[in-house]
Amino acid sequence: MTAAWRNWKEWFSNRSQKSAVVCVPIGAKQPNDIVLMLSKHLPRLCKGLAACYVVEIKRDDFEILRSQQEKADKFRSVTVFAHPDDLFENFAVDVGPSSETPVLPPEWWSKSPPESNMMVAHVCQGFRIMTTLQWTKIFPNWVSYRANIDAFLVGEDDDLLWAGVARAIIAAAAKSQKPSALKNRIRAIYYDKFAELSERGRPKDEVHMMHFQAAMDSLVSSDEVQR
Amino acid sequence: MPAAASPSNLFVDDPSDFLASLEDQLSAYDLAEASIITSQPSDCLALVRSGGIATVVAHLNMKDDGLSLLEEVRKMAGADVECIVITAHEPTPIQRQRAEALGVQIVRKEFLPDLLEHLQSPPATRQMQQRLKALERMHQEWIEDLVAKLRDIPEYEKAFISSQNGPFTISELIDDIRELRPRGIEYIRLWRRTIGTLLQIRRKRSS
Repeated sequence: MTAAWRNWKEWFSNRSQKSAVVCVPIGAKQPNDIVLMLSKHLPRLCKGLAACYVVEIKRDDFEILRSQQEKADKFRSVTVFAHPDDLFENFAVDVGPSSETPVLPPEWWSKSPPESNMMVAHVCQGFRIMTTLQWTKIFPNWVSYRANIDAFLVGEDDDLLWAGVARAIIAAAAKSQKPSALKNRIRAIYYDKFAELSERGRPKDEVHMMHFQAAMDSLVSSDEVQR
Repeated sequence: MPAAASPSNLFVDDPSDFLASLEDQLSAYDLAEASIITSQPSDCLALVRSGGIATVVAHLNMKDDGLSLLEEVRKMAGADVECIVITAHEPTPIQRQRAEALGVQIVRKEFLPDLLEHLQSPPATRQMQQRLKALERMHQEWIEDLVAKLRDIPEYEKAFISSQNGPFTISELIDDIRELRPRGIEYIRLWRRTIGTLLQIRRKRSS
């Protein structure tokens, strides 16, 4: 192994560990579910950008995720793609038939120093989860959405469009220090995609633009809520 | 030219028997004080410009064309002035279309008593009704625009939007919009904001 390769591997390893992505397609009951779709693309999209954990329905996956707990304190930013639970207090997870312990409780992250953690909750009405005391304690700095995130996924190009948005959000989370800055960056991502779509002029792009508009409008950061 | 009492009704027509008989009818409905009758379109526009006119009633088939005159009134006063054309004959489809586009109400002469009764209601109420109608018209245009765009989507009857509250087809969304159900209203609002952002992007590009 050459020195250059070692250096690169070390740099890559450090860089990857700064950001994590957790995708929980569990609870996806719809054929065109956005979280389900992203779970297929994220492992590829996260390469060189963030450590990616897709939490599938199988119990083994939960155990793997649980075993990563020690690594959690190395993550400066965490981006979650998930659904809310029925009470909007946690992310929707399925504990599986043989386990009774919730898999993704706030405690999972409790080893992380709160001041260094930034969470993006790409979750419908995710701000309701993030403003509960249990989550605020662990992730005081976050960006999420006030409203639901609708998506129109009828073709592969639609999947790739949203996958591109997801990747850009992960990158934005990795380089942002403040929630307000992160929110502005995410807003800019939607705005740029919106501008791209406006030049294509396909009928379904109007629907994507409406969904990007809704996402932009409902973005909220922790500093706005605490103010 | 008589001075406009604020606010006022303004009737415009070529010199005619109708115009001559109108004065008596206005008196009968106690509207003479609050109304001005003129046969000069230029006077009409001058009075509207000076303010205080709540309603303009023009004859559809007057020499200068009632709808063209009311188009000028609209340009000058926007939605604040109620515009009405009166006619003895059935308007042509083109006239109807034009009147609708301008937000001009068409009244047949046999319904003149109803019109005069309407003019008896306070001008502030009439102005409020007028604004409401203008908003409804605008709202309808937004709806038509959005529905037309959605109908352009290939196989829109089968195309699903995934949502936290359950998936729905574009076809269902169109129904929600037409029936003004909560989801439809939400998307109409979203469409208006989307157009606003599109305009912003175009303005940035052109500058």
